[in-house]
Parts: sequence; C-alpha cells; structure tokens
Amino acid sequence: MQLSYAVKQSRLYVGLCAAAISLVITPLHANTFSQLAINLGHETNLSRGLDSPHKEESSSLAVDYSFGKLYELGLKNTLVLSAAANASRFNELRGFDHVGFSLAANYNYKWALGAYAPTLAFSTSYALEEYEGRARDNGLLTVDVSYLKRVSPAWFLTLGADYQKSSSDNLPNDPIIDSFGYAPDRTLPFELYDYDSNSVYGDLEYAFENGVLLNAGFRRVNGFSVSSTATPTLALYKVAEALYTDPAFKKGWVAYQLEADTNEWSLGLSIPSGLDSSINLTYNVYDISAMGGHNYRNRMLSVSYVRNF
Amino acid sequence: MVTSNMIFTGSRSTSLHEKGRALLLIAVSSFALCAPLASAQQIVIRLLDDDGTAVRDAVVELLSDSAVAPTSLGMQEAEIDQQNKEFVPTVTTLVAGGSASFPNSDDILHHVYSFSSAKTFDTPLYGSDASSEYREMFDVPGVVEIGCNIHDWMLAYIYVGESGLMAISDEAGEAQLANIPPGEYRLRVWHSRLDAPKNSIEQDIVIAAGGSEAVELTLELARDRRVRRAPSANRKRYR
Repeated sequence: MQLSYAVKQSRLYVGLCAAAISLVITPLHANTFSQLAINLGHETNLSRGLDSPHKEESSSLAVDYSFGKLYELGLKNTLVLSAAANASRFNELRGFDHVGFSLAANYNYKWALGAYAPTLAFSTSYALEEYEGRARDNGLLTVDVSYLKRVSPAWFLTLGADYQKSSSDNLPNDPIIDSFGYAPDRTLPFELYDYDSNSVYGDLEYAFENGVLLNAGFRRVNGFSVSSTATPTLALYKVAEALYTDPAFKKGWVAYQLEADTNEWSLGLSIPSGLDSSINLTYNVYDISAMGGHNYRNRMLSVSYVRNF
Repeated sequence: MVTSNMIFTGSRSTSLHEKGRALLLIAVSSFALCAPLASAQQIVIRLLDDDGTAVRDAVVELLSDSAVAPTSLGMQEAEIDQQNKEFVPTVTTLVAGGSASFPNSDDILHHVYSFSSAKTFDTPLYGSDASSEYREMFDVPGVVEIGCNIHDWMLAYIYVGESGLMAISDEAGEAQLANIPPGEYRLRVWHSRLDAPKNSIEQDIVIAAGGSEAVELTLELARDRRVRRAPSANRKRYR
C-alpha cells in the first residue's frame, strides 16, 4: 500500500528530529561536519516551454545548509549520516519559492587507504520540497551508487547511476482541468510529481596546480518532465501522464507531466576562496525529449559559494 | 627530470649556471671536480625551482661510508601534530631507529596512516584525548608518506635518513649543515615534488676542515600530489 504524502511528510519530520538528536548525542568515533551553500542562478526555460511564449526565465537565490556525522566503520568503510535544509526564492515567480528538508545516508567503501584509492559509494536520501502552491509539493527518494577514482593529482573521475521516486500529495479536483472535456474516457491524474526515473552519469574533473577545478559532466535521465503551457491541446492531453492548474505561472496556465528522456550537460569552474570555501560557476544545459515530439531545452547559469565548517 | 642549475660559492667563488637534464651530468661532474670545497665545515645549500622561487621543505643529507653515529646527532624523536586539519610540520627528518608521535590538537578525529614501503602503519580514529598514545618507530631509511584516512588533503612526509647529517630547507630555500666532519660524502637532496627517481638526487662531495661554503641548486619540480581541500559545488562530499 502506498503511503500518502502527508504520512511521509510527518515521518520525515520525526526522522529529522531523531537524526538531529542522534547526530548530537553520538560522540563515538565520528566527526561532525556542516556545510553552507549559497547559490544565485538563472534559468532560461523554467517552465520547460515548447516555444517562446511559453518559455519563462527566472533568477533565483537558494540557501542550503547541511550537517552530519562521519562514522569510520573500519579501515576502508565510512558511513555519513546527514540532514539538510534549504530555501529557494525566485524572481517574480512566487510559485517556485520553496523550502526543503532532507535526510541522507552515504556508505563509502575504499579499496585502500589514501586519496588515490578508488571508492564505491552507496547513498540514499529522502527530500521534501514544499512550494507556495500544493501542485509542486513532493517527496523524493533517491538511491545512488557511484564509483569515484582520483586518477592523478589533476584528474578525478566519477561514474554513477541513480534511481529516484517522486511522490506528491493527492490534489483536490481541478475544475479548470475538468472543464476541458478532452477524452472523457481517459481521466488524467492531477499529481504532477508522482513518477520515478533512473539515470546514469559521469563527471571528469581537472585540477589546476593553483587549486582551480574545471569539471565537465553528463547525465542521462530516463524519467519524466513537468512542463507548463497556456494553451493545452487535445494532443497534449493524450500524451500527458498528469495535468493540473499551475500555480507558479500566469493565470490560466496548466502544468503537465510527460514521459521524457533528458540529456544534461554541465560545465563547472571552482575557485578556492579560502581553505574550506570556494566560489563556483556552473553552466548546465538540459535537452529534454518528451512523448509526442515535445522537445525542450533549458539552460542554467549559476554562481555559488560553498563553505565547509 | 632533476636539477638544472648549480652555483657554488664560497671563499673562492666558483659558479656554474646550466639548464636541463643533459647538463646535469656536466654539473654533477663539475661538482665533483670542484671538490674538495675550500675548507668547508659548514654548508648552506640554497634550493630554487625553475622560476627561481625558493624551495622549502626539501631535505638535504650527507652520506658517508665512514658513517657518523646517528645517535650522537639527535633526530631520534619527532612530533607531527595535527592542527586545523593539517599535519604540522609537513616534512620531518628522523634517523633510522627514531620514532615519531602524532598528537591531535584538533577538536575532531583523525586517522593517521602510511603505506609507504619504508613504514606501513595506521592508527585508529582518535581525538585529542588519545594524542599521547600513538608513537611509531621508523627503522628503515626512506621516505614515509603520512596521510589521514578521513581528510584526503592531509599529507606529511617523514624522511628517515641513514646519517644524522640532515637539514630541511626553510622559506628562503636554505638548508644548513654545520659541524660536518671532514671527509668524502654523497650529497642527497629529496623533495616530495622533485622530478627524479625516488624524488631525490645524489652527487659526490668532499669536505675539508674549517670554513663554510654555499651551494645553490635548481630543482625541477613536478606537480604536488596533495589534493585540494576546499569543497566545490560539483562535489560537496565531506572528504
């Protein structure tokens, strides 16, 4: 039986409290750490629109704080338990403003000691995001396995795969959607963020001698995409997996979920700004190929400050 | 690639200024031909990189068949502290048979290890409360690379020498060896980034009684093996 979003939410809060308590009271063979990340970003197609009238761009400010403990289970095994909270605010698009909470567990197995030993990492996390409107609220379970190897002082390779399951609360009937009257024999669910996806990814990092890092990454996601439009059509209704009034954009806009494959390309530059901090410049391109020939592109440029404590 | 330039200065100033590995042999030969250095009991060795920047944390050692008893020259005990998630000092010299302790002055835990052929060991994860418990004996000459299994960027070296005639270059790139018994020696220079087999070079030298000499060497350095400490947006992992 599938748990409701509300139940999951309450369990997460309980879990967060339990994790916070356990992180505070377990002094044995563990290092406490925390990290602050502040990100200023700009997306060219936040709405995942097909054409210019439906492409909404926006800038956002996000603050993310995580803390946790690293446990050394053995010479080659470590376990990291962490919790995180984040908040994002978008320029004008209040419907995208959200707060999030997450719990994560990460197990690392190193084949040997030292920075150059290959590492196999298994991690799982559960994250909740709450938006201004309910349509985009979701809980996201992630299971990830990755292989990390420092090839040389300059090169660092990461290969991985993950599975994600997103779930959202049951939404009330949407009279606007009902009034469309499309294909009465096929009733679409409202829950835009009920889906699962899997992806494979790779990232190659080059470190200059002055400590500046340059990285290039690629991720292939087989999953779903949530897009928005002011003009839903019958064709769209027939290929969509879910449909609901979009609270994030202009009045009358509709958000829809499509099965989609996404190619994500990323390029990053990281400049140390101190022993434990850096300024980062990241450029991402998302090529989304969805059902029914709906192809989208989104670009994101962001500047972030990351600080370890 | 190893050294390139050598400038010998002393009471009778002699100089060589050569570049490149091919010229190294000439330089080494010249070094040998120059020996014995005029009345040297103290040598100051100045180490520079290709750009003329002083090279610190290099070890110079004088080796002799008529070995000086190391016990008479100290360097039997060393302390490598852990402060602000770094080893302090970065380079330590010990004579073979000496020992080093690894106190932890941080308020977090560290796990010190080495898998170098000259010494393999690892401590458990420990904090400042167990600082006095971990001491290791180093009885095989060679270089021992020390790391922390939690903090990948932490790196230190223990140079376990065959003689007691060792010095570490300072910020000015200078290493001083004083009160050297006259005789024939091999001068070994080691640096963690020296681009040479075992990160070291050697050449013969004869030291006569009295006086002092200065030697200047240019070292060709490879890139540092130390990894970056600062986090990045791409990899926000703790380690």
